[in-house]
Amino acid sequence: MNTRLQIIMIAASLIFLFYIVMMLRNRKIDLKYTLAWLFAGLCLIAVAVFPGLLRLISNLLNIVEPVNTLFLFIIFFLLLILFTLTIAISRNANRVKTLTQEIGMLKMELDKLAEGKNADKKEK
Amino acid sequence: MKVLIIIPAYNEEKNLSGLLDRLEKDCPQHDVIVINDSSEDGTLRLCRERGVHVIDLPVNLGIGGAVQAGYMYAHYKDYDAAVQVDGDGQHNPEYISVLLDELEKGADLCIGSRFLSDTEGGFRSTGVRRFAIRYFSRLINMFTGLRVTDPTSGFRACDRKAIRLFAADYPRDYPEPESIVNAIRNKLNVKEVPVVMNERKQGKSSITSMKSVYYMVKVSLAVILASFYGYRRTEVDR
Repeated sequence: MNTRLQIIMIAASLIFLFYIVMMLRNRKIDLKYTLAWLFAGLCLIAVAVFPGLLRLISNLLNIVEPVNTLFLFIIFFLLLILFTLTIAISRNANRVKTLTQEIGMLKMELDKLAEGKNADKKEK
Repeated sequence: MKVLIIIPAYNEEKNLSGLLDRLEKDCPQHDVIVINDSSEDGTLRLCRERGVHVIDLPVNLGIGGAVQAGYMYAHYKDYDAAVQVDGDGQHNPEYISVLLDELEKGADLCIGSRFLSDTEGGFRSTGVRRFAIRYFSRLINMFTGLRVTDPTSGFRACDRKAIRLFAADYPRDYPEPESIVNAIRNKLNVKEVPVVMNERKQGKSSITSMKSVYYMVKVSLAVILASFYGYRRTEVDR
């Protein structure tokens, strides 16, 4: 890994982390869903600052180019984060479904109440 | 027996009126509820004008979510039985009593089948769909050992047990075959009775040719998965 790539990685990761922290501070995103991103950003910085780490892992895994190890880990992280998003979406879809059904029933009960009241008025 | 008739309706303005007329004629003793799945036409207005009770879903949920809302209502209001009738007029209300009779005889879920009767009458779907129906029938038979001749039929009666199951757990899209497997796996007694259906009068069926591949794959997978889940205790709060 050359110095230029190291500088770019550190700069990009810092901007990214800064952006996440700002979003968190403004309550735009949940900490729950950002933990993985924060961890990924910190890992990237660690790798950029200490390239020896990457070489060590590459040697362990018999990967010739250390940058390939980097790609491998980034892809792994992305898949992990995507899958947690799928879980979150499914859960939200189910919640929306239940809420919609309950709202539909409540609206009907309201209609019935209103009807009953109107009928009372007419009788009087 | 306190019976609720559940009619899921999405843009069924043109078909619903006739169905409600026939329901009034054939079984005036049962309660009727229409579930309006965010229709864009005058379905809701029609229901209001006719004074029929309607669960108006603010967001389109698809057939499964709409039908489930009906079962949830039946469960909350403590109905003894619920009969699901499509809003497009395919199902003949005169058979509702036949379905309910089967419940009295001990079935938990009774499905109106187009393919059981010996008489070649009524509408029995078109070529490709008949193939799909036969395929699902085989698949369900393979995985549950039960013979269901019309697994895509949405004309069905449920007793309390089935209402409770469907209120808690009902598939979202293309729900019929999967829900049958679900019922069998939960040890419900599933029966079929022969019925005669009509062709859709107006509007399009929810299954278009573009979606049919997705339909086959999704339902196959759902049926296979459902049969592996095994018995799952479902309880609804309240």
